[in-house]
Amino acid sequence: MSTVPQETAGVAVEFLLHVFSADAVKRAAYVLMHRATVTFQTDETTIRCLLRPTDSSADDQTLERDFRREVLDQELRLATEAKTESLRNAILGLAFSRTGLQE
Amino acid sequence: MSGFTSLLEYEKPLHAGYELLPFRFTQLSGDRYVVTNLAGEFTVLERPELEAFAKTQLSASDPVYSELKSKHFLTDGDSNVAIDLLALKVRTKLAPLANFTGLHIFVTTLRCEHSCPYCQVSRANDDRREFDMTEETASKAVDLVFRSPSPAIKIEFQGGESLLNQDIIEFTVEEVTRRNQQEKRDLAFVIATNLAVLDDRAITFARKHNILMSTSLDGPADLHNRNRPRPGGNSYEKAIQGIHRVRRELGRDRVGALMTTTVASLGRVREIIDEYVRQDFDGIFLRPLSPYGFAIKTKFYQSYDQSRWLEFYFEGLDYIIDLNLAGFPFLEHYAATILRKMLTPFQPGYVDLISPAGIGIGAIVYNYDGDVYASDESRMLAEMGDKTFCLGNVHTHSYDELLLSDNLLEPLEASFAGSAPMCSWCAFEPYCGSDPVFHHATQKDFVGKKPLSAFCSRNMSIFRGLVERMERPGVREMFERWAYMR
Repeated sequence: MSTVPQETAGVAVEFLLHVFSADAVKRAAYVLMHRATVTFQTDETTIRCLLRPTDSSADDQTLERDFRREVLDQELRLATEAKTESLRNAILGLAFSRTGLQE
Repeated sequence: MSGFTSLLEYEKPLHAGYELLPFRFTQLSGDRYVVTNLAGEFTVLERPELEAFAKTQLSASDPVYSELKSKHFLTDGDSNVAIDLLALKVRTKLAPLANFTGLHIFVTTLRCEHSCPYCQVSRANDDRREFDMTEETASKAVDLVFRSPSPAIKIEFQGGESLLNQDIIEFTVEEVTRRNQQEKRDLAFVIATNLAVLDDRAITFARKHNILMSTSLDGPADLHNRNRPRPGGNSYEKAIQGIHRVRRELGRDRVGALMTTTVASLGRVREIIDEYVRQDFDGIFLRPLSPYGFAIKTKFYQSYDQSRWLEFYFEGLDYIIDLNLAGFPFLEHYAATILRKMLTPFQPGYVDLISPAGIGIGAIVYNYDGDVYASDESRMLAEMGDKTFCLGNVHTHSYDELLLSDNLLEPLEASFAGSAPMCSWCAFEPYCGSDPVFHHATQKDFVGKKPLSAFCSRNMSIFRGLVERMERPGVREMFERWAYMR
């Protein structure tokens, strides 16, 4: 991932799609919607995010740092969710078994 | 002759690696993360530990490995019961859902002789009898109460000032008690009252039926009387006299109190807590304003922002912690409710902190006019003209029609936190609720965008604050005592 030159107000951040999933980037944008409006541009190899702060006095560097961190966290979440999904379903199935609540 | 196998055999499972069990994580502060499992058990990990754990690179000899294993974050070849145990814990947490509605709120009247500007109900003047519940309406509501399968039924009378329609309280209690000779439910009655109109008749009736009184106490006299105006300007004096009288005639534990935080309360949290200590209460519920009723019309709700309330809350919580550490036991009830979810196998029935939402399932409201609402906040919203959560009317709808109403099922399904954006991956989801009424009131959406939600930011701050405070000497033990208090 790299920072690219700004074209408009805000901060632009790029992520390589073979390293980060678009889902992780979208989740991070959702989490930070109270701090920034995010627009996306993609090509075959990268996803480019333009972060426009909702508060004009907000610090761009802090926003960029927090966004990158959130993308990293979301990537880890997506990986562990995928690894544990079948167990999660099994545990919930077992927990709700014989309750008469399932069809 | 048989004997033990070699040491190598015992060590094999430890070198065979581990499998992740479902877990979620959320930043606590800096590089520290709260990690929770499906049953809400939690631990705190540094980012490198979290990453090593999630990538199954943690060594069995690592100090955090045993903790993660014992709390069912991972399973290895050493034991095969983790999945069964975790399922049992999840089942135990969710068991109260099967009991269905336990709290039934009867709004006996909208009349009130107080004129509190933060009132969430939109009271009526105290001479307007068209705002009183009738016996016919109460009787129909009692029919519905006993359709609930819950083995424990609590009937709470609210207003306005509920005691201004004492006839309907007496009618309802006697009717419920009579029918319960067949039903054999575990009954409890609560009268929510400002105590200003408490009289001999109410005391005698409450004694006969073992009724609990729940009142309002906003703090010291000047603050309470400023927040809660009434003719004579003596709301505080009336409340204190009432508290003493109920204790004297019904018993010390037969009266509870709630406070509401106004802008005048900010900066005075210690004085408010001291007032509760002085009045011999065991604890206090530090409550923010809610976005309903007169609180919106009078702009009281907008009079302070979330960060100021959180400063107020944590100053109060820390003061209470210090009181306890100094040897004086005293409780903050909201924290205790959350701690019960964090530290015990039990699920408190607090409607705001349940997912699926507590509307209809945890509590149901029979309004003075027979309209049935999914929660107290739902009828507050209706008093503002928004009947989104009105399920029907006791005179025209059956139990099935009310409880299977789209006005109940749609928000329940839509707002389920386990599948809501941001909640579904939040480590605090097992402790939180979905509160579709709040999100509808503030965002016109049952789910709500959580980054913009005051409900979410307030609770996230409190969850983090409780976890951080548990790391202070003596606080974890104190919190465990709070968690197990009923």
